[in-house]
Amino acid sequence: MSAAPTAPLLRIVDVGKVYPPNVRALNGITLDIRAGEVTALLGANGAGKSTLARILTGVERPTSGTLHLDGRPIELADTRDAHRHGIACIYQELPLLPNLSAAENITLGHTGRPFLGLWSPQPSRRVYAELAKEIPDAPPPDVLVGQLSVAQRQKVAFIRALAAHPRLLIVDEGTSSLSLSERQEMQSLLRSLAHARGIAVIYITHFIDDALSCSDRIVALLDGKLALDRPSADTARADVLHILGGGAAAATARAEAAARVKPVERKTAGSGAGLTVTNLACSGVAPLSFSTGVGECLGLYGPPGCGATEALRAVAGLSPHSGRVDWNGEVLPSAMAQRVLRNVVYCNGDRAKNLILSWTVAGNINLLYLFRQALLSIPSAAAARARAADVVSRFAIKGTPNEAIRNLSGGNQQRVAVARTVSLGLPLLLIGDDLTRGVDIVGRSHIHGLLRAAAGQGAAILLYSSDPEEIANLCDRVLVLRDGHIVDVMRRPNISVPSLEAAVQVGRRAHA
Amino acid sequence: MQNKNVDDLVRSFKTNALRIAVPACIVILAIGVTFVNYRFMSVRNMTAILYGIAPAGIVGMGMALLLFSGRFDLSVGGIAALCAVAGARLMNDYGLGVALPAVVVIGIACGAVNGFVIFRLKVNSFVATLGSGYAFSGVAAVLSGQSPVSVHDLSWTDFLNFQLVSVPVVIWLYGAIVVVSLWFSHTVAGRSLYAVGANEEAARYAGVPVTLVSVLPFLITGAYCAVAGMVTVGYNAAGLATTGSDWPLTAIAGAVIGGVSITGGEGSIIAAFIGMFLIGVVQNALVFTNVDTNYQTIILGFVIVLAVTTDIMARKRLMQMSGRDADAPEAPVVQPKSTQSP
Repeated sequence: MSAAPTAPLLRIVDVGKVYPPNVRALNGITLDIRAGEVTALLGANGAGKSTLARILTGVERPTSGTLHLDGRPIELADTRDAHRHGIACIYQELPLLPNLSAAENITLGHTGRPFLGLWSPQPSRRVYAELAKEIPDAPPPDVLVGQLSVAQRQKVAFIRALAAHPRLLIVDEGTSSLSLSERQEMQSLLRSLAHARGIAVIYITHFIDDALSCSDRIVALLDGKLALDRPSADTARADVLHILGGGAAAATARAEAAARVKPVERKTAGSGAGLTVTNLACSGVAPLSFSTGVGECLGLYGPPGCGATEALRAVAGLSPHSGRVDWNGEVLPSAMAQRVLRNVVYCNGDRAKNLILSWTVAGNINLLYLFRQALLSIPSAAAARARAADVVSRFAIKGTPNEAIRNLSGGNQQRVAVARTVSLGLPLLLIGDDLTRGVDIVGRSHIHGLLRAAAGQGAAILLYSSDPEEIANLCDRVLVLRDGHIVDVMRRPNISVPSLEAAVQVGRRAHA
Repeated sequence: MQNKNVDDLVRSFKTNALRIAVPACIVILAIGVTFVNYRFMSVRNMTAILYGIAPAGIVGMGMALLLFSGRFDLSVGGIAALCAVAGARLMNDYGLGVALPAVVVIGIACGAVNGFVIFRLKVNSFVATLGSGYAFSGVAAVLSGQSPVSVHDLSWTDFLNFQLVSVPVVIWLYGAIVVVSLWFSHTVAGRSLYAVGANEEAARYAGVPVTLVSVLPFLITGAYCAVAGMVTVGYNAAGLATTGSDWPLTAIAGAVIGGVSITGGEGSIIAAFIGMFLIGVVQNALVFTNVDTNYQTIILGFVIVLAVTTDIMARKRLMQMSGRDADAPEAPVVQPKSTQSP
């Protein structure tokens, strides 16, 4: 089958979704999805991509509009309905069971045996082998999913989706945790599924370049409305970027917010200031030595499993390590709480781990200050209120101190985590572990602004990111890691996305 | 905007209505019983209720602190039994002045054993304290021998029953424990328990010394168990190895009925106290209406399950209320149509 225009497989007609009381997540979306095409779906966080995906997979029902499959109207009451109509989805949070083998994950619940029959691995192995033929370098059927790398797990998720023989495959940011080359491999797979097998593919992603290079058509949402629907070949990067940035209004707001971020109080750093790591080793990290100083943003970059995250966690005191970590002329104690007291603070990209989502903004801000007071003292409510109000206004956080933090957007939540850390003042070592994972362009630029301002004031920043663009944007120096070793060191202005990827590739060859 | 506020108000009312459902039922029950027997609502009867729940209630304060941090201690009965028997023997041999501080040390030591097993050996608190509770009551049985350890000198009993401002000293003692617990729950250490209970990982990232603050409520609970054990020695004029066998459940139930979340991170000392008092009300009301003791156990069990159920329902509703804007979709499991390939 070719990518020639055919009758649409799925027509989405005037679909709207209103969450009670009156949050309009989707507004009059009309869209055709064709078999044999990769349709990239782009949009900022909250633009409605995920809502649309949830409607198409039957997780949620639209409040208005209809869906037509093969020209016939369909109702998707639940995921089983969607599944019956041949709609499958791969989500960004991989719903695989780590304690089962790859093959068992595929046939989950469908063993091909009577309910009370004896279990046998053979049927699932057979199904797996059949499906895995189409996936290059698919993991073997008997290996436990928990032991697989993220990239390999991704492949198992693909195989599982294919097991349903889908006509429409929705990939929701399925590649966000992969390196560039792995993403490219995955995208060529998507293309071949669409072009060779005639499956309609909807590819939901944050990465504009990925979308442009691998899709046949680009669809972008802005504030719940369809903002762009064009063949990829005719689409300019700048147009998409503008929509993802939230349109003209958001660009102005962003500029204003950036202007409002006031500088933090400057303190002079004494001699021996900065971080010196000597022979740091822990699981996944060969002995590493590096140092970073006042006002520098040092990046660690490498493919998943390169040891960057492990190294960051060791420096933060989260995991036991050997070797020495000196901070401002003092050997850091091993307990994380002691390191936080010395302003060595770790921020995780996973907001649910970083923040207490059931608490208020103020509660989360003050939590970082809690143990700067005596164990049996009663913290002053007035001081806590003032501190929270100060951080919220100084760092231009959208929301009020007394609001539940889970009501904030993802980008804003993460901004609270970074802002409270920066508000500690100097000396400061901020350890960012893929800080902007899953945050949209607007939120990302806010957080980058915060980090840059902090570094400008004299904070040291140690950063890992799965996104080379983020590293290129922020870092003054980058250590390229591979299998726990430093394989390359790059300095501004030589840091760019292509040079980072090239360094990873070279490192890979050097280690092969 | 107006609409949204009203809607949120209605939702939050529904959530809170769930939370107070069980306490409300108990208050209604109490009013009903008052109609049957007017003496039920008297100051005298309320004092009797507090007198009855004092030992389990004291333990319940420690349990509440543990629940805030997302853990609990099933060994409280065992610790109390050990302290009661040891306390009675020490009182007979060395007098009250030695016995009292000694049992508090024993109680804290038992709490330290729990802390060691949970935080150093990384055994979860359910298994660790279930096991250690058996061990502690075993030690109590060995110390006690065949029969309860009778106390020769009744001055401790007399002291607990002494009417200070027409309220027995034991109730003042209970009150003091409540106040101390309330104070502790507001200190830096106490506040951090809520953080650990709500999200241990986030608490660690924010510089909370998680192990240190988590072990504290185990030590406090151990000390409270010692006090509660000594109260039963006063009540019975003897140390019984069977002391407190139902306290783990009663203490947890009291806190949960009052609105302390069984999954951690939420609740207050006052709520836990009220919940425990309401358990006392139920027990007392059943006595007043001449319900058989065995039926009392059935009814109490039912009330506990109901309280936990409403807690979980309220929590779910709260998640739905605020989780509607979340980016991450609920992931449906994609399953193959058949195991045969085409």
